[in-house]
Amino acid sequence: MNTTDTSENVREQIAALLPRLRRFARNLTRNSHDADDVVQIAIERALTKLDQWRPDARLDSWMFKIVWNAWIDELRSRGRQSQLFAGAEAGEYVGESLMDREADLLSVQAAMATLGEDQRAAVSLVLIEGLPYKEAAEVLEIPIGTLTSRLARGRDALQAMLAPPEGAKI
Amino acid sequence: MSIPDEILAAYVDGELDPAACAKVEEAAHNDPRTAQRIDQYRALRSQLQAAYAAELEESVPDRLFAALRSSPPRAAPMVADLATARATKGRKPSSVTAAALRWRYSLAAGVLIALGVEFFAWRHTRPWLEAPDGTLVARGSLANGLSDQLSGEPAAGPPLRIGLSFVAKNGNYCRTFSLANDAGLACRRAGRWEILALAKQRSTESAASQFRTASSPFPAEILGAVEGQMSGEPLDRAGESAARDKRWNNAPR
Repeated sequence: MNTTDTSENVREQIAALLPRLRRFARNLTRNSHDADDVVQIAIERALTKLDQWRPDARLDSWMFKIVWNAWIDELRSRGRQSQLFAGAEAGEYVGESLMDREADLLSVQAAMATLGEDQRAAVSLVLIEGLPYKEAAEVLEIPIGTLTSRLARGRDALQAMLAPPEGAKI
Repeated sequence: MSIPDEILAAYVDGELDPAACAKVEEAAHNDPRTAQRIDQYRALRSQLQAAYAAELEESVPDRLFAALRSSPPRAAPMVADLATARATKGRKPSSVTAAALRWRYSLAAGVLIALGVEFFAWRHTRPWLEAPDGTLVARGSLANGLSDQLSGEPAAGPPLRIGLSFVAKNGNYCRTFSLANDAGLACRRAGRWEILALAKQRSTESAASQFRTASSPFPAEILGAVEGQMSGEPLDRAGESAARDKRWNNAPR
């Protein structure tokens, strides 16, 4: 297998990942236009360092990491603090009826939007994108212990905001 | 004895080794409150995945495909090769991708339909499966067994049997398995075991050892999937051990 074949092959695999990359970016940016900008930057960066990707590593993790770094750079260049958006309009969604699907979706996304950047990234990678802890920690460049504590806090916050289905409450 | 929340969460996230999984499953069996907490973690995970599933079906803007097609500045020679490759195939990368994606997302549903279970019902009865991104994959004890167990070896924990292991046409390692009343075909891809086929077993006894004999109790759907995937002969014991040692990453070609 020569380098050109590998590169073409990797591009096709990245193409197949685009829906997930956009979803992850949208969870980070909470804005679909920003999300596509971040994904585009990530694609451009990835193409300049395709030779750094090792075939035994997960391509999705590698791409998520590039997306995450692109977003962090964007935040820095905008001069934002990482927890800026946390906690804004959480209240109005709490206790909302989950009887219909629309309401459910709205609530989940609204609840996610109230988490800080770090928790939202951890929850997105593990609970939505399905990455193992080890991979998610590498994407965010943090120790596994830090990842699991962000995950635990994110999960607790979401559980408090989202009524458990069928009233399953302890 | 109460198991801490982070362990229960790690269990639901498929992060525990077989021994720890067994401990949690035993605790859940004996203690309804533990079982309920596991259900809550699982419910949150499902709720999040359901809420974000639709985003995967949105069409990707052309500008992203265009960015992906453009060549990095320092790898100029690639342009000619890419163009040639594309001309030979006579199709645009974006349409290829769309077709591949449609196939992927219909797969998880198709696999389960073969089982005769409703799309969401399987979660409750088969904790060893999950579909994090629309692809059905092994988790927990099944994932561990597929990675660690050699064919025909009796399992220490759950009644998992590995039938045979082989290299698929695309170079990935695949293994057939039977677990509880299911039989299936799992292939290693991107560091996880994707379930390509799953069906109810006709008989739970000695499914693995009688594989591919005339009276095989292995369901026809699985045999069909194996025939469709396999290139060459099944791995022998040495081949299996070697593949296991390199964690089932792509077979040498």
